[in-house]
Amino acid sequence: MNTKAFLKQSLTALLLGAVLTACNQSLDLSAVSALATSVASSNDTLLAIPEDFYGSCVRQIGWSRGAVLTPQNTSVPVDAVVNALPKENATLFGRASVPGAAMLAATFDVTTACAYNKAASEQMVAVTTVLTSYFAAIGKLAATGTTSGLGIAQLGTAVSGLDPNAEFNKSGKTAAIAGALDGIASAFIAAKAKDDLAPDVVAADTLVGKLIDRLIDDKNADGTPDNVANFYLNQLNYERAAMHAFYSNNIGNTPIGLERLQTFQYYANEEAEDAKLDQLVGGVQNYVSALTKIKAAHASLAKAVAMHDFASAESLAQAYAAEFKPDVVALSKAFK
Amino acid sequence: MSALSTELYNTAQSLQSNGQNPTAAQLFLLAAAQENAQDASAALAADANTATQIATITGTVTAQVKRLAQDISKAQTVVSIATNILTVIAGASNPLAVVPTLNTIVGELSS
Repeated sequence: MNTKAFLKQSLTALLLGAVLTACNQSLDLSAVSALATSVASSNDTLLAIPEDFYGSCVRQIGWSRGAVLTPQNTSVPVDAVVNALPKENATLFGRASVPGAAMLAATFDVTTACAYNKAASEQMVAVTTVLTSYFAAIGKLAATGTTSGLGIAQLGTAVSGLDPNAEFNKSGKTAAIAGALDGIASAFIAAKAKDDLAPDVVAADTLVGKLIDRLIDDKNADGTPDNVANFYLNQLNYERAAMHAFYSNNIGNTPIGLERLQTFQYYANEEAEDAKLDQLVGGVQNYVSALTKIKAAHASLAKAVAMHDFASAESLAQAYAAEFKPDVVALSKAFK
Repeated sequence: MSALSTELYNTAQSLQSNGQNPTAAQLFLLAAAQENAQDASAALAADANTATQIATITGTVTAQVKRLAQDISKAQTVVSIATNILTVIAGASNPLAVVPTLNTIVGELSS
């Protein structure tokens, strides 16, 4: 191909590419990629509450066992409640047997007592993973769409090498045109990614919102909460009640005297357990806040795509970084 | 908290605070937890279809990623080959000497 023909074809391609890609140029794939990838990478943190729905039940049963399998007037080693139940109906504390201990041991067996929590916890994990997997996928598509060029700039250099003294090559325009073609290639790739991304994001938006609502916002017809965050808060209440019962049943029965002095440490332990639970309750607020922001960010993205109004797309990543990330960090800390 | 789990929890609290039957209190507390967990399961099961639809879209997006990456890779390969060919031609004393090589490459691309 002579240089004039090359130039002519290149300019034609440039104009065609500009027309084809103009309608989607404003969508910032990098911003979409950053947003989606960050949500997906928060998967482990967002799973903390679904997983602890079962963990809290296990702790509750431990406290309950210690609360009911307890002889009167005995100081209790707190760590004992996490251990296996004693053999032959003896109590954890070794001084006496408790009537009906065998029945109670069977009732407060984690495997059976927490079976419903385990099943629900696995459902919560599955739903959360569906969400984060979706965000990971759109993030990957957006990232792939940011691939820069096809190497046409190097091809231009090779063209120049054919005849460096040709009039067109001497003018340096070969490199410029090749660079422009590479830019067009990038734009084509981005346009393809956007064309793929748009219908997926729009189709998913209502579904994503619905699933997030189930996690943090749904209510029954009578207005009572019917969402994962609230189910987990309920579970923490049960755990807290069992924990207080454990201390109350044991420390509260300690006779006045030297043994009462020995209970002081257990009051401190009870306060520490309360503080741990308070931290988890605080984590729920971060969980709700983070998912609220994910829902809003996705809705903005879907709206931008559907309306071909991409002006706000770039701000998604910034809004995410400023608002969503601190919640995820706080949530992560609550469960450490 | 559903009406039933609330009632169970309140009963447990009442029994515990009265100090009359701490064992029964823990049994009511366990029942409340199980009721709450079953409510959670039922609520999530109601959204199973929603989750399935999102998973389907995720599958579509994943396929699009794969296809786009393959298209880019193919195009980059073709451009790279063309660049290499032109570089060889530019440096050869007899440009026609590369024709057999070109035929080989074209053959490979066509296969």
